[in-house]
Amino acid sequence: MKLKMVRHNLFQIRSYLSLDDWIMLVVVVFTLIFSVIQQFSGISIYYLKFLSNIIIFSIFAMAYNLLHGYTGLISFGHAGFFLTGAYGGALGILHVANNTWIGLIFCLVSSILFSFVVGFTAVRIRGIYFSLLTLSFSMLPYLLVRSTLRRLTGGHMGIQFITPPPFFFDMSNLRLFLFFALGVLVIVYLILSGIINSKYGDCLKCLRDNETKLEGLGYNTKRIKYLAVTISGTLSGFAGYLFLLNTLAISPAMGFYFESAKVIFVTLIGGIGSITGPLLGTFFWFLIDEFLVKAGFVEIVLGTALIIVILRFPSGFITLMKRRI
Amino acid sequence: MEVMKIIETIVMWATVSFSVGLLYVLFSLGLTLIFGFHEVVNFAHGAFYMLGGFIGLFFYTISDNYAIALISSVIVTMALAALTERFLISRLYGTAPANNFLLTFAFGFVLIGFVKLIAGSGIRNFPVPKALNWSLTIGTFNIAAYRIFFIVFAAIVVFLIYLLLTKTMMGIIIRAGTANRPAVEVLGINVKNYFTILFAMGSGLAALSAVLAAPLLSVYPSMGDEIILWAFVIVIIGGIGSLKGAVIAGLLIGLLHGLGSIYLGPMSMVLTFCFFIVLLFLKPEGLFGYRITQ
Repeated sequence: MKLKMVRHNLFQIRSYLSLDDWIMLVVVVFTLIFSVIQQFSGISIYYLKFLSNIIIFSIFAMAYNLLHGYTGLISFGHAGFFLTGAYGGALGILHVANNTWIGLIFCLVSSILFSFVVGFTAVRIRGIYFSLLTLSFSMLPYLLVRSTLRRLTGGHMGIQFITPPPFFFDMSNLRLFLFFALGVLVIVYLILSGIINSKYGDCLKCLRDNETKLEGLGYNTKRIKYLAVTISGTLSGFAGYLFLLNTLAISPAMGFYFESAKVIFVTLIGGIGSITGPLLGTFFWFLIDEFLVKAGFVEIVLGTALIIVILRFPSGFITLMKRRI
Repeated sequence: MEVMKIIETIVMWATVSFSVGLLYVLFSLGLTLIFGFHEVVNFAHGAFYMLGGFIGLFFYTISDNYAIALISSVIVTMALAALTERFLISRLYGTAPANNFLLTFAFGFVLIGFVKLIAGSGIRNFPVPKALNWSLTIGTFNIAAYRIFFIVFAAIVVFLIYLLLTKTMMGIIIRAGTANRPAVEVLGINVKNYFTILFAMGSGLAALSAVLAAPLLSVYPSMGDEIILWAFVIVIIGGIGSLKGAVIAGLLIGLLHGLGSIYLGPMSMVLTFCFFIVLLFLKPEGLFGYRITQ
């Protein structure tokens, strides 16, 4: 009898939390358990940094998914936003004041400005041209920091910090930074699910499925797209800044179109059109990239996985889980 | 003396920019024809280029004959491309163009992986053919004979492609299919087969340009990554599916790069991209494009 009650209660929790909530919960619990295990076993401290990196990249991928999965705009230049945010923050810290908050302000301002510029031109163009336009836009920050502004940005070597800039906690403690990144991930998740479940989120989905209909209903589709590009770009820039704080280094290679392809890849593999799908995809990519050592093998496995996903599961591996729950 | 100096600079600029420009033209021709005919943005084009370079290197080391390397590389790449089109890319016709974009990207990634696995990820030197291993001296400036051979050969290939597209039945069908595919289908022509041929031909052109450029640029697994970016710029500027557009835009980008390497420095690339963005904004169908794909 009692067992039945417990099972009933569990079932209620299960239906109360969505699949995305469950995945978030599993990731948070896994990260906490991993950090405890790491403390008491011989696992290298490097893996704490590695895990923070995964979490930060999944913030980037979740921000990207707002455009690809929910708005149907396939940007092929999201690494440009990432790079703009990271370099904005790095230049603020390096040339204005050695303070993380100053860097954050610079990061947000630069990525919002860049998103405004990209959004202004990109919303007027549809389909594959949007991808090509964002691709070429993303080359601008890449070329600027690599060669044109070489004196300020350190050229292709990028910017390195020896000690982390002061913040409200000690960032050289990798475990604390991991918890910080996890907290940011949860906040970003809550913000994104708030956006997607709001009326604006419905507009985005409608834009993806039938743009003409939304226009016919009297919505200003350009403004909706513009806002989506700005939110997604700014969040990506913020993820770039977190990446800078984690690795204490940034180089132009992070803005090459390969990184843009990587974020599309993790989004597709995990599942477009679900908030935590990109999170799963990021774990998949990073674990394979880290533990398959032989050069060439990584590309074969990841490329084959992507081909299978595109041909067989167009909405990603997350669909396999949806059937279970 | 001053006049001599100016002539020298112009000759230097012209040889550098024409060789770069013709490489871009050869590479983007295949891309623009494939894009125009079936709305497939072929991201694997860079991987086929890289593969062609490596196959050419392989045959060159076996046979020590540049012509054999060139021909066999083109044939092997064409066969592989035809198989890819039949068994992989044709599955997604009729869906959103972005799907093919991502699928070909994934396939290119797999190809790069295989090449890295077999040949390693280092830079391989491709020796200059012995018959062309001399240089022409103009004043104080040397022009490698291979560069002149490259320019002449590439120009001939572009001219042959032009003849193929305008004078033969196949070329007429391809151009008609680019302008209005349903009309060609109504005439009872099997467009699918023509697209397989076109895809193989475009990839063969990529392999040809790779083997031609290999003695100048050498061969490495990521060699397709940068050139495909410029090729997209050229395809959009020239207009999708347009041979004339690809040739003019390719030479234009080549001239800008040549100018950049002598006077402007890295700023020329930024300027090219700004020009590209403005053009895409004002005239998305490009300079000589047939139509806009939505």
